[in-house]
Amino acid sequence: MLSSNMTRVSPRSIVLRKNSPILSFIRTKVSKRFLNKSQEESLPVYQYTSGKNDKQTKVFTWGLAEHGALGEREFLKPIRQGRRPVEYMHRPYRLGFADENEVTDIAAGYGFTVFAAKSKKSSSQLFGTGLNTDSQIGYHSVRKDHPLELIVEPVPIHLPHDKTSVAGVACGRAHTLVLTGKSEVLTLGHNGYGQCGRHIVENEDYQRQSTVHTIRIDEKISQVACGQDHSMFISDQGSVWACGWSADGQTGLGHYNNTDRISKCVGDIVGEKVIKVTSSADCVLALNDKGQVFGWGNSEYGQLRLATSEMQLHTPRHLPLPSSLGKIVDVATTGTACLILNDAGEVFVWGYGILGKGPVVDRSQEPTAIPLTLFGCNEFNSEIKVTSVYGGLSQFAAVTNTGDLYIWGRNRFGSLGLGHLHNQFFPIKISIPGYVKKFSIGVDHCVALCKSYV
Amino acid sequence: MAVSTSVATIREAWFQLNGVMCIYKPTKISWKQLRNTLAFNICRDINQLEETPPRKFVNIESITPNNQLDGELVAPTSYGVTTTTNLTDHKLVRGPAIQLDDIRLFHANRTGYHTSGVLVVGLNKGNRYIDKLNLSRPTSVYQVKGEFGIATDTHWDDGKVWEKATYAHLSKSSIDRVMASIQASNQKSLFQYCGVDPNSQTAYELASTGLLRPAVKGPTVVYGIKCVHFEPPNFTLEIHCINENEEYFAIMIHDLGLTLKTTAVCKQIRCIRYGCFTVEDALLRKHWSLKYLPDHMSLCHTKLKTLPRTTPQLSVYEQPSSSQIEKC
Amino acid sequence: MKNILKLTLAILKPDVVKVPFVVQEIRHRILTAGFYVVQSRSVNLSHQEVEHFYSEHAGRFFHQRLVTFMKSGPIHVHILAHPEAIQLWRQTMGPTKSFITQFEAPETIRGSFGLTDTRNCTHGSDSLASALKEITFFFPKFNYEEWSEKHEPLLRRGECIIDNSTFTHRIK
Repeated sequence: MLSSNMTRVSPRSIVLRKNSPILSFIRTKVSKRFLNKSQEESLPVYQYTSGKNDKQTKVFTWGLAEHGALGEREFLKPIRQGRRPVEYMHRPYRLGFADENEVTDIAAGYGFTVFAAKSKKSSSQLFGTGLNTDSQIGYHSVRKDHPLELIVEPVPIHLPHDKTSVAGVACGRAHTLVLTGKSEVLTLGHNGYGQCGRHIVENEDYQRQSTVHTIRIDEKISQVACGQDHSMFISDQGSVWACGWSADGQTGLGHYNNTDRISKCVGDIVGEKVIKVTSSADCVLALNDKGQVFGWGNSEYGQLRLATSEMQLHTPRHLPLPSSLGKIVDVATTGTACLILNDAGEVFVWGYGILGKGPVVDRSQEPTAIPLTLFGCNEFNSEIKVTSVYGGLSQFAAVTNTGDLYIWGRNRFGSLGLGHLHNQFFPIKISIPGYVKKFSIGVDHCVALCKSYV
Repeated sequence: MAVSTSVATIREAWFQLNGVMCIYKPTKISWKQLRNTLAFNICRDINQLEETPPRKFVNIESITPNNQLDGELVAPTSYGVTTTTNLTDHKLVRGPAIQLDDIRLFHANRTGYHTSGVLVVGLNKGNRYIDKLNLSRPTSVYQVKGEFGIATDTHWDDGKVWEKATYAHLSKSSIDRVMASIQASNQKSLFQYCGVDPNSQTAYELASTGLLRPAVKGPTVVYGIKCVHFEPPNFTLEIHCINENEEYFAIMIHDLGLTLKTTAVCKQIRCIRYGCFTVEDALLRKHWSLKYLPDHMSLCHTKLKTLPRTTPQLSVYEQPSSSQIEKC
Repeated sequence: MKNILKLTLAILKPDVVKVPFVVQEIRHRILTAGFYVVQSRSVNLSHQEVEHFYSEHAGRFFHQRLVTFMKSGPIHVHILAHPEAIQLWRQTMGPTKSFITQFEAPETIRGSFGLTDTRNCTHGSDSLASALKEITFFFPKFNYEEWSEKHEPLLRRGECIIDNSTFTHRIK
């Protein structure tokens, strides 16, 4: 240290004006080079990772904050003095809850969010935040007989058996389905239409309801899905079961009456091995292992025009798609439109609303392709494919093989996460640091489950 | 620009010195230094050539009769013409034939102090091609080398080291994922920079045609980025971009390090392509002389002629006039 | 007299009643539009009552889902008063179909908060006659003649304040 200083020409020994260019040259160039070496070796080496090769799970939420569905207490009840509550978050917000607990599944409903997570602090694997006026995220009360209407940060939801492992979750407008590791389904929340699969009680007060109903069928349930007010289940043998509201025939049971007992769907899907069923409002699409698409429910905007010209369809019907589309690997619906993805990674859309084809095209009867260039496929990156698609009430989303999330549709309370409140008319990337594993679109908020890059 | 390799006189050589050059710029040299070196080399070489002989000083004197009265105008009877050496045109009086100020050099792509690689330079009348080239908004390709594990105050490896961190957890795939994310984010930001109303049909049509090129000089846009070499702690990125500068790259490397939970500094930036000019065409420092320049400029000229007519795909978004709004 | 207050019936449907934020927003919009709230109540309808209430839509394809939807939970019923009550309330609500309204009239109640065409937040009377009929349905004790004699002039002169707990304008 000393010897290197001795050889150095000290700037103070030269009499120069204060802002002389020579002096500043000596300061910048010389000092850096000389001071560095000995100091550099003495610096500590930091380690910012755990060292293990495990990628961190992150959860991002955005949209309307008033319900508490974003899971951040600070938005509704700021701790710092003088800070105002946040009405909506129009950019992805990283949820602190996911850093402490290992989140495995997410689902967003109307004003509430449910997480399946492994926690060190709680024995429950199910967590919920947001609106709880129908006990859709369980019965929580501070005082006896005063259930909480709004929960501002994720809290454990107590299930009948404490160590129930949670394999998957799905949320409707005001009810929650929980798929357990034993292939049973637990239901919470509003049962006005029988969507919880239990007997409808006239004038039941769902807010004070602490019942968690268990649904079992002869087969093992492997997947759960929710419309706004109906529930759908897929067994490991590929049969589809449903219960709940059926005024548009969305349960697919061949009638328009509400069903409070889980029943097997009829129609063209009988005997098919169904791998996915999806619904965001009242129109339902199902996909079998051969890549064929089936539809039932509401068709007021021509969502099921390929199969029927009626407004409603109570029996699942095969949708005869053009053979040029190839094998279909994923399906999604909004309230008014349908989206399908084929094995070449191309996306086709039909129906009404913001379809992702610019502001002019509003209604399309036939499946039309959305150019892959909009998903970032260009001369620099020709291998981009869409790998999964998601639907909300009026929004669509797609995830590419690079883990990027693209979204388009109506920007209800900033729920597109683009940093503004304007509608988006074609797919655009959401800036999320991480690659997206699962995504869920609620009514006015979104939740994304991501893995960190490292 | 007819060029022959055997130039004998300064005059011949001077007329050939108009055109575009593709120079391989060494690192740690500023544009000012490079320009001076280049101009000095040209002057040095050209002035060694055979000079045009100095023009003669022609003196015409009228010869009038001797018996002339005062104030009386008399027609001269004859003129005497003498030619002498023109001293103002003499080398010792006017200096070298071609001087530093005579050589006008301008650059097309702005490469910074640390950057090496392709630098396209216009010489004298060739400067008009520089404008043409720049108006087509060509993209540049860079190879950026970095090193994980240290962070410096300047984000360059010659800065003062502030922090050290481990990098054993890094893999090629983790870098690739960050690269994909950077690329997609940049392509998204194109719409914000290009001045088109994102809610318009125009924006959709432009977006579905593929990549856009901004019509105006603005923020840096990365079109493509990939990791071409990874050998911890060293790595090399290949970046296709427009409107770049070297501070952008240095900060990008720094941010990349933070994203990957370590630290990183930039070691080297090399421009390997600018528009139609690649690093193979570039003239090395030892060839910056009159012997190689005319041939090189003719090569560049043929390249410029094959330049595809790429015009910027976007114009500046115009606000709809009040009459148009009323119609809607 | 031009500015005599007229009445309309507003219903907040089960989908929004359970969402405090939306109820608050709709109430705020009712007040900023200049309505006086004459009476309010929260009610759980039975199947027969809803059938009776929507008897005019009987036989239409959406009748079934309207009825099952309305009986699925509690609803809030308000009698609103304004010189142009019926038109103004329908204007504040926006067109019936939420999926279309959300693009064509996004600033209306149904455009902002409507979920689907059935779950479209609110109901409003379409004419004075049906408004009175619907008011009698929900408020059998409400006497229109008595109200227009006693309370209407007081409301019109603004001699009232809003009671937030019951969401009704109380005469001072």
